[in-house]
Amino acid sequence: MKGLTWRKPVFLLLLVGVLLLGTTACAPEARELAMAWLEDWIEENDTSLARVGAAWAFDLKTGDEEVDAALDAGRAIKAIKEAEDLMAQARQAREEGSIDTAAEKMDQAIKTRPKDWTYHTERMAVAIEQGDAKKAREEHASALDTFADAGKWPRNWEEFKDQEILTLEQTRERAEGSLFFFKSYEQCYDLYNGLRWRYDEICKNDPNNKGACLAAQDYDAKIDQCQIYGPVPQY
Amino acid sequence: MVETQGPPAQKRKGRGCLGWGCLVLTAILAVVVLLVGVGAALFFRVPERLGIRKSAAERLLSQTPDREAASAILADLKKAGVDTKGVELYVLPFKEKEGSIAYAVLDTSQGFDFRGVKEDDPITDYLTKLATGEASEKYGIERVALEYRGQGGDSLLTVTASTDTIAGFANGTVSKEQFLQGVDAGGNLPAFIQEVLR
Repeated sequence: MKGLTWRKPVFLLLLVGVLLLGTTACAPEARELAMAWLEDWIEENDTSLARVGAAWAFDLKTGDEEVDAALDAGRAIKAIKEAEDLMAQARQAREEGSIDTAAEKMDQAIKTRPKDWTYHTERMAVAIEQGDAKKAREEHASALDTFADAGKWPRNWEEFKDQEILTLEQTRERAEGSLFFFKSYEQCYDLYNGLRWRYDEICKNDPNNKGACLAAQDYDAKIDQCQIYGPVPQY
Repeated sequence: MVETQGPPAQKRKGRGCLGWGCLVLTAILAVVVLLVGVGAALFFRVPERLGIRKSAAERLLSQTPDREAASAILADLKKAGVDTKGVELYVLPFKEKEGSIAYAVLDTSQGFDFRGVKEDDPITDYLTKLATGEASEKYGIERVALEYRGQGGDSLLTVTASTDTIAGFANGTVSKEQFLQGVDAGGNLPAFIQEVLR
C-alpha cells in the first residue's frame, strides 16, 4: 500500500474517530485495541483507512511479493481449512469403513490443495484399502513429487517417511482386524511390501533401530502369507 | 422494341447529425460498459477465480503447511501466558526460498481476546511474541502476519512485518515509528465499518 499515491481523505479518519468514540462505552475491548493500533499505523504511514480498504477490495499490490502473499494469505488459509475439513470427513468415513466415500472426500481435498503431500500419502493408503494398486502407486508418486517440489529440510523428509508409515500402519490395523479385508494377493502384497520397504530403509540407515529392523523382517514374512488371498501374478 | 429504363438511381443519403450523434453515444456507452465490466471483473477477482492469474499467496504459499512448527509456536505462546482461545496458527513455507510465514488468525467470534499481552499495545506485543519465540527461530519464521476477525467472524484487518523488523523493535534497535513504517496492513473496509457500527 505504501507505494500508492492516493491523497489522505481526512474526513474518513475523522469518521473512524467519531465512530470509535461513539462505540467505546459498549464495544468489546479487543476490537477497540485493534482499531487504536490501526489509527497509529495509518498516521505513521501517511495513509488512510479508505486506501487500506481499496487496496484490499481491488487487490492492489505493494510491489513486494512476500508482503502481498502475507496480506493475501487469508485466501490460502481458507483453502487449507476447506481441504482439512474434507480430509476430516474422509478420515471419519475411513474409520466407519466407508472407504469409497473416504476416497471421494480425499480426492476433493487434493483438488482443493494439490500441493499438500500429506493428502497424497493418505490417499495412497486408502487406494490400497480399495485394492487399487495403480492408484496407490500414482498417489505415492504424487506425494514424492509434491514433497520434492516443496521439501527443503531434512526434518520434512523424516516427517514424510513417518507419515507414510503411520497411514500404512492404520491400514494394516484395519486389515488385521477383518477376515475379509484383502480381496487379492496384490492388495495384500502392496500393503506389507510398502511397510517392509519403509522399515527396511530406516533399518539400513540406522542398524541400531531394532524396532524398525524387526518390523521389516516381520512384514517380509507376511508377504509370503499373501498367497492365501489369490494367485501370485506371473509377470 | 421498347426500351425500358431502370428506376432512377437513388441519391445516397448521409448519416446526418442525428446518425452521427447516435454512433458517438453508442461508442461512449460501449466504453463505459467496458470500463465498468473491467472494474467489476477486477473487484470480484474474476481473473484469479478463473485461474488466469494466480494470487501472490498461491504463487508463494501453496506448499504443505508446516504443522509441526505451528504446534510448537502455539505452545510457545501458551508458555508465555498468552491466551490462545480463538487463535489459529498456520506456518506456510515459502516456495523456492528458505523460511516460512507464521500466519495467526485472531478470531473474536471464536472467543479471542488480547489476554496475556501488553494492554497498551497488544497487536505489537502479539507480533513480537510470535516473531521472537524460541520455536519461531528454530523453524525459520521470516515473516509474521496477524489476521484480526471481528464479532461476526469476518476478516477486518491483516498486518504483517518481517521478523527482523519486529525483533529490532523488541530489542530497541528499531524505533516505534520505524517499526510501524515497516509494517504493512490490509483491511476489509465494508466489514470494518459494519463491525464498528455493530
